[in-house]
Amino acid sequence: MIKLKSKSTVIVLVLLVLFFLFPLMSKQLFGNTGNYMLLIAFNIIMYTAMGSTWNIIGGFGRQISWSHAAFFAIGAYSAMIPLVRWNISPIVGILAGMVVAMAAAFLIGFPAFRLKGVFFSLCTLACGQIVYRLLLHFTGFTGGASGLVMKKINSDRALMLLFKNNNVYYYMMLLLAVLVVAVCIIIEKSRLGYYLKAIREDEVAAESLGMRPNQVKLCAFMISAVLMAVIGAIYALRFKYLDPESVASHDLAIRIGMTVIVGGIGTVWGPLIGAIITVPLLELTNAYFGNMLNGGLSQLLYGLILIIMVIFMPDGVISIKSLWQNHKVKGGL
Amino acid sequence: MSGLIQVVINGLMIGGVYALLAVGLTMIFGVMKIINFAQCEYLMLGMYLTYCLYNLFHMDASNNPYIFIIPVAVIMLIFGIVIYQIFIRPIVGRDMVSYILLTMGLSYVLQNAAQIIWTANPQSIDTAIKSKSLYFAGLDLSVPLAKLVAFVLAVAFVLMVSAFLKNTDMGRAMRATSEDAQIAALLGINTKQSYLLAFGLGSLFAGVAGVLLSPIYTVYPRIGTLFSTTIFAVVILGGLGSVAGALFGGLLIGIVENLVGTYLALDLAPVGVFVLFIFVMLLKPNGLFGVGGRKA
Repeated sequence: MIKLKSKSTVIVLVLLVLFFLFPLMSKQLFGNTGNYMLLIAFNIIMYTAMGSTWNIIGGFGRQISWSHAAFFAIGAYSAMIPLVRWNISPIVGILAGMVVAMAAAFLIGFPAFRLKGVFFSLCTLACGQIVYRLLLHFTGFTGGASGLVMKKINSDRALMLLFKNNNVYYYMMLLLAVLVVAVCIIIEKSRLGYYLKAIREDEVAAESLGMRPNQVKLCAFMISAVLMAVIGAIYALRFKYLDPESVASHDLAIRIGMTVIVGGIGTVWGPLIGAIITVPLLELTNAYFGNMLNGGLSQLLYGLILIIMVIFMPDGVISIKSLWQNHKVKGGL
Repeated sequence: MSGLIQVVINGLMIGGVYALLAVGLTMIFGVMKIINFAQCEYLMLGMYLTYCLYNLFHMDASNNPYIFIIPVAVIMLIFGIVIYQIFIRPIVGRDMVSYILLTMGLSYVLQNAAQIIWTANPQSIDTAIKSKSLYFAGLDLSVPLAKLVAFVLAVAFVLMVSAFLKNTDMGRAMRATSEDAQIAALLGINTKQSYLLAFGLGSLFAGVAGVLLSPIYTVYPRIGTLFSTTIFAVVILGGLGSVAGALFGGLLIGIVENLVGTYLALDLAPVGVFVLFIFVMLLKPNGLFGVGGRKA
């Protein structure tokens, strides 16, 4: 058991080193497609981070939230709007975004956590839609459906977090992902994590033992939202373009959850595994089948993966390991 | 004043169709305790079926699509049953997370299957009823005929469901299953059959709603997303599992949506609906007609 644990630590460290070195190697490895590969790597890291934040409330507490795209959007717009409209440093914007996301999480979570299970999910779905619609409506502020574009930059300005080289953002995201996963590890072993797991198993029993489930859930929800906002901000700085469809849509909310579920819901490494599997898979299907069959095929596969995972592997890809482990133990006996 | 009445009437009209969609959802929930996130994709399929049948029989502007209600209903019933057998049955008895994810996956699959078959371009049927409306000179009101027909038929369907659940053996079996599936099974009710029936009927209602909406909206693969969140709000607002609640919730949300859309801003109409929804959640977590089904 201990041996296996150290083995997975080694795997994670190797992956981390690979991700760290990837921007230096991608040109040599893939030549012309190097930049594209780098983008995929960036997305893998970003979805790992997003999945991990979603996992805090969605996995540990098993409160399936569909409003996390909204927090992502809040973070992204909070960094972008001050920068584009008033030339204020995104550092301020990121901090503001964290505060706004926390407030939004409170506003959403307070009514939503009065509801259990699927009703909670539906409530968050509605809240996510509200944010999406508001972003579309206030065109003068957010740019509406046509989006918000950042001016092309000529020189690096560290205080404004503007860099010509996109690799800087790659490393920012990598650092952030490591931080988020670290937070997840800490939470999993902390009092909050055990509370959340107790709620997941049996909320009524947890409450009868003196816990206040709603407070615990709200707390986890807010932590999760704040982290998500930072990820959104880095995304905005990296791509220098935002529109509600790409950062606040229902599809993004689902995709965040799906990443975790494919990997293994409620486990620390599930989001990483999920991101490593789903991001390249969807990129590949988009690249090869994107224009086939009226453009529906790649998204169709997306839905099918979800269905197949739920029916045949409800605990995610990570459960393969434990299956193998159980098998070995049985064999040993 | 007549402007206000006009807005309320418009709201009622679309609310009737919301109610019909919501009834299917609420029925599946009542019996199986699951939310079918793919419900509005059935609506989309219903609209496409109408579109195909309409063109298959070379209908022109002088015809109306309502003659296809029964064929579409039958096809959608069979479709719902097939979907249940293939996708839902393997996970009966699992936790609700599985259902949420499975039906979400299903909605993606249906949307994109439709896109593959019919392309992403909006399609509409050619019927004169689209542009007809009834004008009440005394009240200075005009009611589009297609919306009026949709409203009347939708409400009629909702009342029929309600009668079916109250007065037939099958309906009683379904209600018993929704009360307590285990005890119902002990008493000799085939609960699996109730599940199947609820799922099939849910799909049937969505298909009928599709026929009713086909002269009002153009159909495209993602049209379901236009309705889905609103329908969830309707169902929960009315109280899940309650047919009367679905009817009332549908009408209420239709009116609110039109009021906000007219007097505030058209694109904020859904926001008004969701804000109302969250307020009701805060005040009455069981919904307006809730019967304590909130524990699921």
